[in-house]
Amino acid sequence: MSRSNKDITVPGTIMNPPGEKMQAGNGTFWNGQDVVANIVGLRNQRGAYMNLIPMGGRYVPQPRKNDLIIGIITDTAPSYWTVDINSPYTAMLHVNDCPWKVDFGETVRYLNNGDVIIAKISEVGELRKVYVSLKEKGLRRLESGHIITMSPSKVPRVIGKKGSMLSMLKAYTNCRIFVGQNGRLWVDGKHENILVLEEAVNRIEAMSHMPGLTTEIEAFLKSRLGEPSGDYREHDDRRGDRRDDRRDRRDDRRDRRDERPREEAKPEPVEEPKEEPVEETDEPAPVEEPAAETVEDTVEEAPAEETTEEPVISIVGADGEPADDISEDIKEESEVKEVIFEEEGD
Amino acid sequence: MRQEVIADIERDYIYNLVKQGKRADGRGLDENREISYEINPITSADGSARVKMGNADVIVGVKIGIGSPFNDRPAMGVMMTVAELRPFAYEYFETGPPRPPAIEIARVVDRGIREAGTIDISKLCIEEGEKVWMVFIDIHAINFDGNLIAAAGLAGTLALKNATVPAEQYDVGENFPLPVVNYPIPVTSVKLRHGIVVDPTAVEEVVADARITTTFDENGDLRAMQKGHGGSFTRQELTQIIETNAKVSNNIRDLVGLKQ
Amino acid sequence: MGGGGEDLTFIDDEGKRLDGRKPNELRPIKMKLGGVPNADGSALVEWGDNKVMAACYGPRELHPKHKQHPMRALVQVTYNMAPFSVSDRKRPGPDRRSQEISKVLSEALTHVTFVEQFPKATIDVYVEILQASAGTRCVGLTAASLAMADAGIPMRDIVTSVAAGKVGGEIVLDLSKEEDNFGEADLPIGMVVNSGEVVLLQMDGHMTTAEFEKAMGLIEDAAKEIYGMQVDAIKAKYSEVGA
Repeated sequence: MSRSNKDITVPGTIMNPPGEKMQAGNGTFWNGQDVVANIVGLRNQRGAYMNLIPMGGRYVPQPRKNDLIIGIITDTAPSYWTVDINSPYTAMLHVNDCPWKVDFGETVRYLNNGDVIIAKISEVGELRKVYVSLKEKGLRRLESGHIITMSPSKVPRVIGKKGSMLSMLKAYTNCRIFVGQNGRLWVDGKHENILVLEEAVNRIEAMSHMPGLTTEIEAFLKSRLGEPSGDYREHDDRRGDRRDDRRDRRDDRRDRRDERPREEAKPEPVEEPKEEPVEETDEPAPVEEPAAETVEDTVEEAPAEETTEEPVISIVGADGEPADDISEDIKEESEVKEVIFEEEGD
Repeated sequence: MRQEVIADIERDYIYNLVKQGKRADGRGLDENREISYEINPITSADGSARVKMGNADVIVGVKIGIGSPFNDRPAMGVMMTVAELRPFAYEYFETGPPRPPAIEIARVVDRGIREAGTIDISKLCIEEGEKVWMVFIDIHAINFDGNLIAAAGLAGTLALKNATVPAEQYDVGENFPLPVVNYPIPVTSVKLRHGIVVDPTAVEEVVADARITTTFDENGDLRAMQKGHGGSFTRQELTQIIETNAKVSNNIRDLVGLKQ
Repeated sequence: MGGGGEDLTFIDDEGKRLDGRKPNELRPIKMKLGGVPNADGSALVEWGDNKVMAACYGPRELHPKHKQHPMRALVQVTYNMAPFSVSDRKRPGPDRRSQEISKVLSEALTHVTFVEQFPKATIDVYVEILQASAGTRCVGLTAASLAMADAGIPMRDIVTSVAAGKVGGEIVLDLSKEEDNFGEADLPIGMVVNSGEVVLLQMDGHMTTAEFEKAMGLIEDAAKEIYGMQVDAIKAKYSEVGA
């Protein structure tokens, strides 16, 4: 499987056809004349928005996204802890953001240097002051397991469209997996299977820019681990393609609708993937695609073939069973807030 | 040197695996990472070698020049080994002159070569008491992933084996191969709470209780040893380590063709 | 810059230089991303007999704290020559020449980097000269630019670097080691090919202003070619056949 690299941009690549007006989205900037790429990325255009899916880059928490991350306590102070979140910016966990009542100076009794936590980015202030919180259900200290570190820009591919890649990895390896947006994966399972999982993650990282990735990875997993457990149904690219086609046609219709007078617009039915009642993750209900009319111009940050709109996160509770489904908290990757208008260069 | 941040659960993960005779990267306890090597990749050096052990990657360059001999050995060549741990190769190396970890690496590699008599320094005299050949061995890490002493030691040995004394450059005769005999090969092991493993990765080194390097010559005899880190080894552990490492050293010797 | 070398014919009657090149011809160049897995981005450039690697770590926390800028990141390039990279062994450690080169490389790359996106952080780029054969700062800047792109550092554009010089009275492109030893002038340039901006410029020797313009012409043409190679090297990483 190979892919033409004509969709790969480099810093300085002009993204819009000459004269055509576009909006500078993720990974691009407006130089006064054109929309220009500022990173090595994969072109991902949605309507008038030009976005790039980054091929690299370190994790920088964004305000209002409230990412779930895996952090390591690196320092303990009387009323807060310093948390390494695999970022140029360290985070702070204040005692007020913990589920426990911690007396001043008693912080070491609850969390110590070297402890690992699943936490939520609760605030990203000016000058990148980052605060994390443990106050929600499912957020906690981890007692055992193994951490795999990967490129944060490839995390959406490990999760996959509606969690498809992640559920496939879980089904074949029989491992519990939690994906932190900051490029840290927590895993627990049989050692031999963890080794296969690590190799699968490496392959996903190396091939993240290619289509048909899920099928490739499934073939790899099958060759190493045999058949998956439980009632996992095999990923079918054709089914996926049909879904993608429907989605692309819906998006095109929406784009064209925006240009037509209002009364001609017909609401599209909600696209439920009826023929595939796959349990995407451990959550009981599949994540519903929002009704087309109410959706903003969503701009996904994944290639058209395998888009990822909602990062579906799986939380494991203290007893190892799936904790609350937080999919309803997951917002669409609304690119509106990330559009950079007329950004000057240096 | 700032330390890599290792989570407690990761430390436990590694220790628990060792209890089962396993390691995080799937290797056995006595298994070396896959080794690849390149002879004379650097043409500006008088001899060079690049060695990779897994992701650990180091180049050793040999430069030979003219200098004065030591007073007490007026007819013997001089040898010097230097290592730099530059932040180029690892997030946690810092800029600045070599600190004790870098100095230790250089001296242990040097010791193995010197005590094995690898370079026949009696053949490096130009003018007794005045001019001798000076052999500089420079260790340059490209990507650090643990076990730098062994990788650099192997690269150093290979570089010396393929080095040429540049007599023509200094107008003192014809170039000739650096006279070398007896190729030392260091093997490093670390203690990971419940067991001892060979050829540690960077993470294994960080969580190790103790570390030991054993350098063997072609006859399987010891030429240098060095214990590093805090921690301790028992007598039995040392005996076992020497036995295991001698085998590993021999395998590497076969692999890179350093048997006479 | 020396004189001497009178017995050397730098350019013969057919316009061929010592190594057979034409006055406007580059030495052979190979570029590849990668080489330092620990780094966020890295690159290897082989250019003539030069062998140079660059590794980019960042953005990351900047120490010591007093060096932090509240509104943007620093771009800190460190140029270093390995002791075995040159004919006469170079003592390890930064010398004044390396420090100067580090400074001008940092300035060149800062100009194109969106440093405001990473307040208080640093973007560290390490340029290691493993084998030197004239023009190392140009090779280093070209490699550093690739390493930063590989690391996902947001930049307005890629920086390309090449030198021209004067040997035997003639302006020629990309001096070789012999030419550099006996040349009469050396002009290393770093530029943004798409916009024509010059971000690194140094010169030593003796040139008339007309010679300078001629040299710049040679450089601009060559930079386009080198830029194409940089883009190809980046894209090559993503066009491999899948596993």
